[in-house]
Amino acid sequence: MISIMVVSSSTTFIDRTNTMISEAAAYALSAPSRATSSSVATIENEEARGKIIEAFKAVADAEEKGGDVIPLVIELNSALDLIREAEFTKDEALMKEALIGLDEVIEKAPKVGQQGIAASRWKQINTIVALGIEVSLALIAYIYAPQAFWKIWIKVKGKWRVKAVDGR
Amino acid sequence: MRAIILLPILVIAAATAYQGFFPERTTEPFSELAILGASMKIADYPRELRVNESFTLYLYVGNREGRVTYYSILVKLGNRSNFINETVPMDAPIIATYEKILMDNETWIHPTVLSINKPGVNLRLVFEMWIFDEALQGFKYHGRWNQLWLNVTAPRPPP
Repeated sequence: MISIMVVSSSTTFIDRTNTMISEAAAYALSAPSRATSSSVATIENEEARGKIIEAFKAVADAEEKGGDVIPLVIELNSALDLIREAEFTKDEALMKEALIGLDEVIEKAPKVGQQGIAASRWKQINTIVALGIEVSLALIAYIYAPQAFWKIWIKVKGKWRVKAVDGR
Repeated sequence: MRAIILLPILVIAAATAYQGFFPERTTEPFSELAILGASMKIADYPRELRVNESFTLYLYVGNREGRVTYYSILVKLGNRSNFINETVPMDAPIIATYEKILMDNETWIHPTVLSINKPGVNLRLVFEMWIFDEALQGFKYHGRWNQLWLNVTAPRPPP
């Protein structure tokens, strides 16, 4: 019950974001931070927003498959920064550059996912081989170890003589 | 004799099988949100400000969710009457938004310079953490929030 209320409340809230930002503008202002922009407004370009979400989903999917998504996340964050800067400065060229970056992420992500699947298969093969070696070692030890142990024992201590010690 | 030799080999084999077939998983996923003062410590927070006086804070976000996560941090300005808790975000104007995608176990510290252009007593500067939810196709309040209490006074009249 509570969670349903939260979901609906959050959805409504996000929808009102732009209205609230304009309300807030009269009340408070945020100066540009050291990074790309002040981020007073959320990303408004619908195409960019859609592509960010698409790229994020692709990256999340690739990560789930075991792919190394670090370079993709870096690219995605760079694109996010570029979009903010493009919206702040109204620079079309920057926006275009950011969208190209997002397209690249969307294109690369499935390949990274496939690499992840291949790496995970390779890891399983390695595990099976290692297990095989360990089980073989265990079998060899089980069959030959006692025999080998006594052979070595006789070699080392076979020539020893038993001597009676006084007082015992 | 056989058992003494077999036991360590079997223990190693079990460890190999566990590592190979059961990948490490985060048992208790969580995210971190903190506001640091101008010296990047949990101190030196502004309390009394003049209208339009700039102040620096550092936003700290940590991802321990066990997966890549898309965060949106909303900065809102409210007052004593605005309600907020772990399930209900504050219904107040948003003055800034910060978005970042973080890898698992990655942290992010971001400088933010803010100023308030209207006087007020016991103003609440609230930082809320929202996370992108694939099922919702949008951001969902994650229940993490921090706040600063501020008194903003009118600027001194020129002499």
